[in-house]
Amino acid sequence: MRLLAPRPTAAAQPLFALACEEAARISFAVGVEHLVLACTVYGALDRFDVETEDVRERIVSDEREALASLGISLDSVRGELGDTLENTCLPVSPAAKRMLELASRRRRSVTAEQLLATLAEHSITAQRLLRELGVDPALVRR
Amino acid sequence: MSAGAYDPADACQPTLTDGRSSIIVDAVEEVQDLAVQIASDDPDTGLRAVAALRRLLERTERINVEKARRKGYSWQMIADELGVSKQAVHKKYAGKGRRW
Repeated sequence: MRLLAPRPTAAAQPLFALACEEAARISFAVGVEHLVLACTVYGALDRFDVETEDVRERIVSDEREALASLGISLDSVRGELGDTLENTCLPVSPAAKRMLELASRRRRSVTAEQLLATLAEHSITAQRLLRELGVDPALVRR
Repeated sequence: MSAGAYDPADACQPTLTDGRSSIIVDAVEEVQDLAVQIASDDPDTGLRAVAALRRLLERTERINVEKARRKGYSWQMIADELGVSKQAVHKKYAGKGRRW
């Protein structure tokens, strides 16, 4: 039987909390993308000249495009759900959980740079998002 | 162009071609484009669409389950409406000490 570690978010608590906050505003769930966004807010992409707002816009436009390919309008869905979106807790994607666990391994606390390096190395989604932002994931891993 | 003046560019064969035929052809081509897009060899578009749909589904499910619980619905009632087992709903939404 696998013993449960302490809350896997503990080491990355501020980053995770910020990712949740951002996701609540622009998306339907907390995903790897929002972890990248949180790292950006903490300045982890400063050296690549990526603005926080660029990351937000990219996440939303990717989502809009994905739903549009099925004929669903992101904006009309958001309009339908309205205020209910703000008062419920967000699902966290399994991929995002896995990344947080990976980054928190053997660490008391996780910096934005460390989390971003983990994402750039292990998450296809994060790699794609970084490339879309004009950042080479290999350079983020250092 | 002045009314009534004859311009060869406006002329069309009275029986074989009329003004609408080209529009219909365009529409058919559009539908074909869409079909090509959907059936494209690149699976990324389809997979991303499914992922986006799942996030939307998870969120709307959670919103509505929470709403139903606040209104006093039992887990059985919610499960029936969702078309899943009571255990499935309970496990997903009623877990104490959730890690996430």
